[in-house]
Amino acid sequence: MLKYVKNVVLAVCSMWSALVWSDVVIKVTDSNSRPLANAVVFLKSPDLIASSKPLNKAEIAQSDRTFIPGVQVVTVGTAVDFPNRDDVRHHVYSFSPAKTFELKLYTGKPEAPIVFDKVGIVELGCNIHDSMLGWVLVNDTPVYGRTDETGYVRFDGNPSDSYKVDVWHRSFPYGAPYESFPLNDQDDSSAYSISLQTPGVSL
Amino acid sequence: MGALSRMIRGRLSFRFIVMTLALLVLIQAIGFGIVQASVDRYVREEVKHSMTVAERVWNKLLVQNHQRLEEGAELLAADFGFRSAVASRDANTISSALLNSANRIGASVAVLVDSQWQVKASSEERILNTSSIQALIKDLAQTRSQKGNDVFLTAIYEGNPTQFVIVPILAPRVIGYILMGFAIEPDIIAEAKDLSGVELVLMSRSASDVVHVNASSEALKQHFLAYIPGEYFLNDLTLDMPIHEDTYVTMIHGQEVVGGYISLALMKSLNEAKQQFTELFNQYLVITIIGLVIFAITITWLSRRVARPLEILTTATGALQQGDYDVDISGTSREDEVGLLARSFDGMRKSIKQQQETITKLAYYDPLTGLPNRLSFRNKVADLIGTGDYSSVSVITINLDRFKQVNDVLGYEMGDEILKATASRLLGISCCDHDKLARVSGDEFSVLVLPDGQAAIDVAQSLLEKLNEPLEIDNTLIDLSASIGVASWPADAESSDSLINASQVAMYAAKNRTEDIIQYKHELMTSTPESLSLLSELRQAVINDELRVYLQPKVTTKDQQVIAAEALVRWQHPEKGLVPPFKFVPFAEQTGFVRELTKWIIRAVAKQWHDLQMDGQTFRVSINLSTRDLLAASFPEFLAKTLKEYNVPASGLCLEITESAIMDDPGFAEQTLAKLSNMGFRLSIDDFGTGYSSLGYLKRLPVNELKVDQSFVFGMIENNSDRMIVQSTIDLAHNLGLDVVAEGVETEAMYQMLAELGCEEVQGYLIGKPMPLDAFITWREEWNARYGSN
Repeated sequence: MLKYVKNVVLAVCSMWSALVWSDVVIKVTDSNSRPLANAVVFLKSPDLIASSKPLNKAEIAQSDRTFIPGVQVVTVGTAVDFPNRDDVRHHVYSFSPAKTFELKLYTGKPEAPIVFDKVGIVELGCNIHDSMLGWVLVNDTPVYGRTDETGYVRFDGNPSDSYKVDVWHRSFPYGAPYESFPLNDQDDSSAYSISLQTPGVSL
Repeated sequence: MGALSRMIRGRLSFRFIVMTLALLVLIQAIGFGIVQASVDRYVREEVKHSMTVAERVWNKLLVQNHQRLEEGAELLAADFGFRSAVASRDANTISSALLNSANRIGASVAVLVDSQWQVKASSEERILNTSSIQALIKDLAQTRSQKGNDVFLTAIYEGNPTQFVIVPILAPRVIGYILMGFAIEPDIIAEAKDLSGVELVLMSRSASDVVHVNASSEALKQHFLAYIPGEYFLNDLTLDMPIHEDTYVTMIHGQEVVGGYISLALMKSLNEAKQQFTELFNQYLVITIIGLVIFAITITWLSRRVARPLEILTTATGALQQGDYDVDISGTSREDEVGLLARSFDGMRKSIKQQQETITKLAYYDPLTGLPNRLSFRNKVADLIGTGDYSSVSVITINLDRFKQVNDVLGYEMGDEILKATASRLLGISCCDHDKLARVSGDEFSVLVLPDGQAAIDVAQSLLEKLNEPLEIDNTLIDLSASIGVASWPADAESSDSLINASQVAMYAAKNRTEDIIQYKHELMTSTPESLSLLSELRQAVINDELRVYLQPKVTTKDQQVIAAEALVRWQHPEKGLVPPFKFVPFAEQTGFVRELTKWIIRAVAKQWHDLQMDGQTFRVSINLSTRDLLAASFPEFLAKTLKEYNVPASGLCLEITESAIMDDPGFAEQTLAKLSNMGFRLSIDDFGTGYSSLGYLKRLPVNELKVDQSFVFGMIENNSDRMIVQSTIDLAHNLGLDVVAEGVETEAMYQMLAELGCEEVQGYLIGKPMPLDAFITWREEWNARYGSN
């Protein structure tokens, strides 16, 4: 998991180092105003959306009857591979409206990757192993971050723009969409505060 | 009832039978009671056990149903196609899938709800239109969240108790739930009944008070439909419920469920449970009754066998009581205890019979002579008189004279020999058979004479002649004489007793007059029933001091001096007045009371003696003694004691004894007279000349004077021979050195003649009649005044 987080951070840093203009800091709290860790925050602006492209390569492997990674963030149009690294078959499916599909019982790598072409949250399950749960978060911005233990997420060197953010947390109930906030006022410490209202976000 | 209890008390055998049977019945009844109680307890335990089983069966069936339902629901929820349909919100597909599943597993209702428990689809369209479905689902969801996902959900759905399962639908997370309901149908109740053998009743009451009852039998269903107490739904109860003449042990489990209440009643008929025991019980009862009857017959037969001989013995005892000693006693040949008893009893009967004969013999026969005794004789006389066959019956009583002396002199053995010889002599006389002769007392025999033979007096004569012949016993010749009395019925007596008595009276008279035979005359009878009361009156007279001493003076012919007096007793009777002495003194002599009379006179005279004394010569007072006084050995002692008490000298008294009194027992009389003479008393022979005293006796006796009987005195004026007797008596007395007193002197001529003949003293009415003490003293003063006192 740590390795995965490091990779993501490295990827984000390398992507946005050329565009660094200013910093955006956001504090995410739950409905009870407690800091919320591990919330995925997408930073959106017309420029960012315009610059969004499908990812070259993305996969969600199944290993030890677990989706790896459990949460895969992709831009619209990205094709994701679902390699099976277990010695049992899996039947990966999604009933989510953003992408409904099923990969009928297979081993190894399915014949074709799944292309996620709509913004939205795709919840993954295995028809054979009810305990397997994973998400593909599809959005039209390449910029996103994850809140730390204190609920903060920081986007460095962004040009000043009118941003809005989409936020998701794994405690969101099935079928709930991203919760979106416009970023209007930044306080002195350049930190925006947002409080999630979706039922279930309370830790 | 009274008759029965009498029977029980009276009859040993009956009591034995009743007691034994009662005991047996009691034991059986106790046995029955114990068995009954055990059976009851056992049956109840069995019922309880089968109910526990039934309850387990019921629960198991419900669990099975629940599991079937759950499996079906899970199958549906896991179906990818179904999930796909749910996720894609394909309502028609969902509904048909729900219906299909529901039909497959027999669910009465299947509903799909979303994760917020909102109804999304159902197996039948109408369910969605039911208003209460949403509320019911809410309640079920709440119960599930409270009690956990594995809870068995029961609810009242459309009035029926229904089992519900809730299964989540995963896509992959929970996107909704399938609810399936399974109405608890009559067939599951019937199945539970078949498996457990216990009746089941399932009652339900919805929130709107609609009551449903499902039962394993129609009768029970109707019973509960009629009325169900509210507590059946609230509590666990165990009770006995009477239904249609049967009793059901009933366990009720009431509980609140979603949408109302349900209650399960487990019921078991006691009659049914007891049935086989009841059959067993009836068999036992029949065997017991048969056993009791057999026992009763046997015990009755046995006790009859024992008691019957006892009853026969009892009858025999009754016969013995009546005096029938010849009664036949049966059963003596038996070997058992009863036979032993009968033999002992028979032995007793024989012994009693023998003793009875001995007693009879002793009672009616004289063992010495073998003659009938007084009692036997008396009975015979009574019988003869009683039959009325005879116009007259006579009794001769024979008394041997001086038999006492014979006994004293020759000994009792000789006396017995004489009696035996006398008896055989009397028997030897033709007219005197064994059955007419009796020995009625020591020396007295009686003979019964019937009018068909010789006259009684002739028989008596021949008897006397026979007895007068000298008797030779052990080479000793003995002269016997006898006094004989003869009396006849009905001339002399009215009854047998008085006849015998009369003959005895005649015999005593003969003895007294020293005649051989005396025929009874009424004059002889002094002791009549009247005289018996006289005796008690006489005793009373002594106690009440009714007797009086009268004194008759004696005067000397020489100088007309009053020198002595004779004390005579008089009876001042409180009702009859003064009773003359001849009316009670002879009677007192006969009965022996004269001894008391004599003592009384002696005491009275001793008391008065000093009053009679004058200066100078001692004034003598004469007292009459009877034979019985002389024969009493203690008499001299009494005299001495009494005189000492009143300080009277012996010489102050003169004791007068009749000739006959001395002659009854001359030996003893002589001794007593000698004793009295030695004590200093003056002794006088009274009524001299009337007895048979020999001159030899007279000479020997220590007497001081003779008293000439008044009969001679009366006759001596006109009768020369009487005068001669008086004169010779006086001469004889004088020759023997004795004084002479004449009594009954009534005329001057008598006095003169006696004075001339030399009689020393005289007494009689001429001188003075008997007087009380005071009168006597007055008279004496007058007499002395007239004739000059010294």
